[in-house]
Order: sequence, then structure tokens, then C-alpha cells
Amino acid sequence: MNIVVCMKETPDTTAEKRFTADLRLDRAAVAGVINPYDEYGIEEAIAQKEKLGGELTLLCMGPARAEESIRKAMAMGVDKAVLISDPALEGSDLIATARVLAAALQKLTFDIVIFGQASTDSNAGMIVTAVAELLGLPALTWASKLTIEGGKATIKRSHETGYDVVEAPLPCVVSVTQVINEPRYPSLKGIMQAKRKELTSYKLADLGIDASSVGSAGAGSKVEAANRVTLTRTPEIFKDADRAALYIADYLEKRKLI
Amino acid sequence: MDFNLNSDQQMLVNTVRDYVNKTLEPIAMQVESENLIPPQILHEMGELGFFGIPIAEQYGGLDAGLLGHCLVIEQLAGANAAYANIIGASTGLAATAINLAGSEAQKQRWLPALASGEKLGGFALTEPHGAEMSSLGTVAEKEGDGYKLNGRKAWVSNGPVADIIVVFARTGDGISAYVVEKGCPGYRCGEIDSRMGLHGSYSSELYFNDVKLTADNLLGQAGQGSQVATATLDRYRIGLAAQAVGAADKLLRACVDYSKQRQQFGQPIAGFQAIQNMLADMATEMAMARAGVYLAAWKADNGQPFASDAAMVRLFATEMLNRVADRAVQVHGGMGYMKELWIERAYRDARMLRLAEGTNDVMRLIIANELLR
Repeated sequence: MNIVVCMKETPDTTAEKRFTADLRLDRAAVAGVINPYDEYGIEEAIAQKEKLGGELTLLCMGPARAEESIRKAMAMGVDKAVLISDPALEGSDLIATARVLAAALQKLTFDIVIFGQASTDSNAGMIVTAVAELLGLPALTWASKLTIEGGKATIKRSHETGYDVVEAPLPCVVSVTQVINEPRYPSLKGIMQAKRKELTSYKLADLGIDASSVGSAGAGSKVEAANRVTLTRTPEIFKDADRAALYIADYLEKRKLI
Repeated sequence: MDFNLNSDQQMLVNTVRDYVNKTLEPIAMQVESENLIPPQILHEMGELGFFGIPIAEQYGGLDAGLLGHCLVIEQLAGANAAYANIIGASTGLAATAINLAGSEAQKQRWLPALASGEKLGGFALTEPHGAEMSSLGTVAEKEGDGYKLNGRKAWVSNGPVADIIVVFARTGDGISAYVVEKGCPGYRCGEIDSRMGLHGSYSSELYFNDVKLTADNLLGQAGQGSQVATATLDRYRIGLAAQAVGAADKLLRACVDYSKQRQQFGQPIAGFQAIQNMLADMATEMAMARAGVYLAAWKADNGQPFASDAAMVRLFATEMLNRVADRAVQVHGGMGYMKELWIERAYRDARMLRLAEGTNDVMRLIIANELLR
């Protein structure tokens, strides 16, 4: 079973975010981490590989400094990695990103591609299906459980009233949610071994992609403005202590939360 | 000169810090009150590699050097001294002695289990009347191709839980080092010592009553036990200093947070110069000790003479920790004396570091001997 897991390096979730002059997220100003959602994808890929054997490759598009996050994934158990890094990619929108990832995936051998559900910086969650579409492969999204067996992948997709079981023949593309597992710590021994694992770098030319079709130059969308969202909620204060529990239960039930 | 940690070392630090914050910090008070590190936590730490940092990869370690070991100990020490103490005795003493003096076969036999934390190590030098080499009362008599070991060791760290113990004994040739495995006939450990601090880790007396050893149990050359002990202890001291730095760092951070939040006379106590002076002194001394630890460990890893540096940094860092712990109680006032906070525990734990495996007075002797040579 050859597995590819896709990872994005995102700005540290706890850091204060700033925008550059052209209204894009200033990534240079804050430390980069493995996109927290991708940690679940990486854990799932490692667990599946441990169960089924084969090779696990990590695929990442990002700046050269993403190597640090890639090494961390290697310390967790990823076997080797491909980093697509090219100055022309800066400012790529999601369609361009999906095209680049799809082109790189065509150079790799895989039975299944695993993604996290979205990235914490832009939170679109559309790359998964876009990549699957470009590769002409089935996409199983939002998996809370993944079983790979008998030449097919089966997932559970949870929703508010239960879950769906969805299956697709291999090869296919899967995205996982954060209830699927508990990501492991990179072992200290893994950290020392990570530096010896193979990391291949691709430029756009290696993928046969024209630089003008990606990055800011090729983006189909343009950021016109960026505003801080302020959420104001009016608290509701219920003062009758004896009936409080009933009131809360009623409140939650009306909103289908219980 | 490059004072930066390399990317592996930085990742070690980040990973251990993360583990400490998520897993070890939340149970620090429990470890103290129950006098026990949950066995599954120790097991997990072993699996993650905490016990094998300076041990070569072919013996199941990480080969990250003494500096790597010190960086990890520093992070662990902030959470609870017991973690650093258990790893210090197992890796810093027992595995280090076997690694330094053992034959290839001995390293293959004992190091992998120690590096993975599957087995714990102990280091039995001190006896009830002291740790002076020339007056050791434990004796190994030659018997056929092997030896017969008799004697009694005191305050052996990990004693009650150690599986692989490096024991120093008098022989016809002088002092020799042996490896004794738990469970061999004639070997027994005493009651767990009742101690002022370091709860969650243990020490005890060990008894050897006609313990039969083969030539394979002899560590290094017969009569070379003193050299084995000295070389091991030189390294161990740097780890002990790292433990002091980690504990001091945690205390300092607690003092900074508390003094910004604690109000007296209508303002946070951090506004008072008396508090600021204490914080500044704590930070200064801690930073100097940390630099000394990294330098001594770097020298050891790079094959330079480091015995004197090790004694100096052990002396300075452990005295520093005791001053920091004292000021931390002062900054926290009455709260610092209460068992509901961890400051009083850190204060008690700190005291041991000036005594362990050679008191700080012995460190001064070592430093002076080097100067006056």
C-alpha cells in the first residue's frame, strides 16, 4: 500500500496574524507549523502504513522553510517527502495549488492520497476535491474513520444525525477530520532519524507548469479588502435558579443541539 | 563560535517541551502526593526515547550526545525533579558507565534495554560510611573464573526499581566495577528511603550476599573501577547541572507571572524594586549556569578535557538553583510555603542537587586540585 499524505505549513495557530501590503497573510512574520488539521492526516497515513505496509510519502507545497515541518512529520513516521517550492508559487489561489499538487501526484506512485480536512489559515477545505477532480479520482471527504481493504477505501462521514458510510475503489483521495485519531508525538529517536530521510525538491519546471499560470500572476481571485471580523453576541441572563436546568435544556433542544 | 542549537537539538527541545506541557505538567502534583510516576507514563517516555539520548544508535539510543541529554533533562526538570532523577540515574550513571567501560558484548547485552527504558539502571558506589574509593567495604573475591560479591550500598538512586546495577567493589587489584542484574541469587534491595524530596523517584540500600558473578560481569579492566566511576561522574555532573537550570527556569517563570498578577498596596508586586532585583538576579544566574552547562556538555561531546568544567558548572548551577528556589518562596510569600502550590516542592527537591554523587564541597576539591596540579 503506497500512501501519499499532503501537508501544508501554516502560521502558528496561536500567533497574531498580520497582512502584507497586498493583503495576503504575512507568513514570514510568524513561525510555521504543520497545519493542525494535517496532523490528523499524517497520523492516519502512518497508522495505515503500519497496518498495511508499503511506503508513505509526504507531499508539500510551500517555501523552503517548510522543511522544518516536513522533518517533524518524518520524525512522526513519514518515510520520505517531496517539497514543491518555487518563488513563482507565492500567492497561488486554490485552483493553482490543486493543479500543482495534482501534477506532483502524477509523478508519484500511490494507492491512496490522504489530506487533512482543511488548512487553518484559509480554511476553504476545497483542495481535496479539486485535486481529485484534476486526477479523475474519487474523493472521500470528511472521514471520521478510514478502512482500506480489498482494493477499496471505506469511510465514515459523521453528520448531525448520524453517519454515512462511503466507499470508493483505489486509487482515491481521502480527507480526514480531527475525530479520526489522536496524532502521536514525534519520537525523539524519530527526530534523529528524520534528517537521513529522503527529501526531494521540485520546481515548477519539474512539473511542466508555466510560472505565469500560478502564483499571484495566475490567480483567478484578487483580495480587495481585509477586515477584522468582530462578533458581538448578546448574552441572555436567566435568573430563576430553580428552573435554570429546564430552561437550558429547552434552549439547546430548540437549536437541535441535544 | 556558533551558539545556536542545530535543528535536531531544537526539535528535541520543542518536542520534549510539548510533552512536558501536555502530559507531565498536569500530573506533577499527583506524582508528588502519590510518590509515584504512573507506570504507563514512564513506559511512554521510554518509547519516545527519553532514556537513550546520549547512547549510540547501534545500541538503541539516539546518539544525540551529552548536550542532547542535557537539553532533555532541562525540560523535564521543570515538571518534576523525579523524572530527571530517574533518567539521570539510569542513563546518566548506569548506561554511561557501561557505554564508557563496557566491551562490545556487554554494550550489546545491556544498553538496548536501558536506552529504551524497558529496564532501569542503578549506580552503586556510596556505602553507609561514604563514597570514598579507598575505604569501600564491598568486596569481590576471585572465585574460579568469576567473583563472589559481598557488601552493602546506601542511598542508591533507582535502587528499589533498578534491573541493571553498576556496582563498585574492592578486589585484589584495587577497585573494580561490575554489572549486577536484579534477581540474581544473593542480591536484595532494602526499604525505600524516606526522603525530603524527589518524590516519585526512589533510593534504597542494596545488599550483596555471596552474589556469584562471571568474568562477563566485570566492567572494564580489573582494578580500573575508580577510573570508570570518575569518568562516569564527570559526565553525570553536567546532567545534574542541566537539571538545576531546568528547575530554576520554571521557578523564574512562575515568579514573573505571579509578581505581575499579585496585588499589594494597590499595584502588582512586580512594580516594586525589591521584587525586580530578585527576578533580575534569578534570571542572570540562571542564564550563566545554562551557558556553562552547554559549554561543558559541548566539550565532553567534542573530546576536550571537561572534568573541571563539569565540577564548576555542577557547583554553580546547583547553588544557583537553591538561591533561586529560596527567592521563589520569598516572591510567592505565604503561598510559596503552602503545599497547594508546587513552589515548596521545588524548594525541597532543589536541596538534593548540592549533595548528589559527590557534594558541592567535593566539587570545590576537584576544581582546586586541577588548579594546584
